[in-house]
Amino acid sequence: MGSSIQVQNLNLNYSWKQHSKQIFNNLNLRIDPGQFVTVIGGNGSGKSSLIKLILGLVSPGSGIVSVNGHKVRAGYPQSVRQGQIAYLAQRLEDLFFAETVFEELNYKRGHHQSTIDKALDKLDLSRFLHRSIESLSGGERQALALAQYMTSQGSILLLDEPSSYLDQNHANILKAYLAESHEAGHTILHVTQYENEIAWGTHLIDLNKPEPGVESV
Amino acid sequence: MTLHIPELIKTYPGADAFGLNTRELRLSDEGFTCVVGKNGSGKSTFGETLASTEEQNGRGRWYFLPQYLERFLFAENLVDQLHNLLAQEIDTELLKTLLTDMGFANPQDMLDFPFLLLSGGERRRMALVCVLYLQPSQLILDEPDIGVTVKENMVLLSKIDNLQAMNASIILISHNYEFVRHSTNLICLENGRIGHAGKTEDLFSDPDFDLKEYGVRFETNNG
Repeated sequence: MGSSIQVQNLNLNYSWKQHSKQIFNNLNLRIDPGQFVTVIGGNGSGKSSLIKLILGLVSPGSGIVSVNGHKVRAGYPQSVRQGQIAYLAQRLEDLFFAETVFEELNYKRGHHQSTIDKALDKLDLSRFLHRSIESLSGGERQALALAQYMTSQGSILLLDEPSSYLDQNHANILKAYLAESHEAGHTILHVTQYENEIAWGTHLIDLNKPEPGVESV
Repeated sequence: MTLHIPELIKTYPGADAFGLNTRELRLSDEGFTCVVGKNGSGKSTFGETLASTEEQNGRGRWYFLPQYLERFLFAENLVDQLHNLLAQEIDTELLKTLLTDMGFANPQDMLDFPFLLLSGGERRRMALVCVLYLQPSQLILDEPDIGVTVKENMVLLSKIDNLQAMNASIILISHNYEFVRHSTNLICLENGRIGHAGKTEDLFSDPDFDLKEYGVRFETNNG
């Protein structure tokens, strides 16, 4: 079920006007199918950038990113469009398109109706159906995003700080969902700021290290 | 001194309208007050509504740092931001001290470093530098620890102590147990109402009080 991800000799730099910031210098990583990898690192260490490189949302200065042996073409996030990768973004502002919760769910519901209704019940969000997205708090938005995400079909799950606004109860639901997905054989890349969440996974990438690798947990 | 929080009422329109309706509170104004509650309990609405009131406790208006920083960090960089807010000369030495305290390795470079190139956690720390520089006399911080490490959270707590020593009132909205246990007062929200409120040590001693009912997280961030 799961897929592999490989990063080879990767360099990434962001620049604007006279300012620049180096994110990765000759990064090499290999994530094997079915691994549940937690990504940690300080602010600015490149956690979100690594996810975006895999998706093709960001272009490296040099080096190659591959998914299942196929080179990721920067600027063309085909892996998401084709349903190979399911991505949960960090920024709450990037998560929703519609005005109300009901409209947002209908936009994405399709044939996943019963699955998403079940996820909404689990996260105690069914009572929010007619609320405007704007009126939801950060935690409610992130919980709603998780409910939608739980209907994803991709063989690779990418999650960028999915629990940062969640309370303990919702964080427990996220943990259980990831455990089930791992059991089902998905490849998981989970960026987090919470040290205790390292134990959820099987492997670790610590971007604080000068030469990060994929280590067993 | 007493921290007076007036009755707060706010309703969002819609068929399943959420309503905030919290009773008036008078709390000790030593230390800081932490507001906790599960997702959807009304914590941010509480903070925003309080910030919009005229209650000044003899100190001036409330200053609110929101969860979403896009509108808060509106300028190109830190010095631009402060020039816009203050229209006066900026004390760059004080700014560099605050930048160092909040974990930025090259404070001189960060003075005009574009917000655009900062990560999510770096933006939150930059917003905290901005707020701490302004030294507001009444301050509400909405989940200031999102994306911020344990070490920087401890620095933030010490800066809150400094502000409080200058007679400021501080309210901190958070799921983070480290903030809860350092607080002097707790306000616990449930479905837009106050479930428990009072001195933190008194609530911790109450056998009927359970922090877990208010969604508090006991894990730590990366250090």
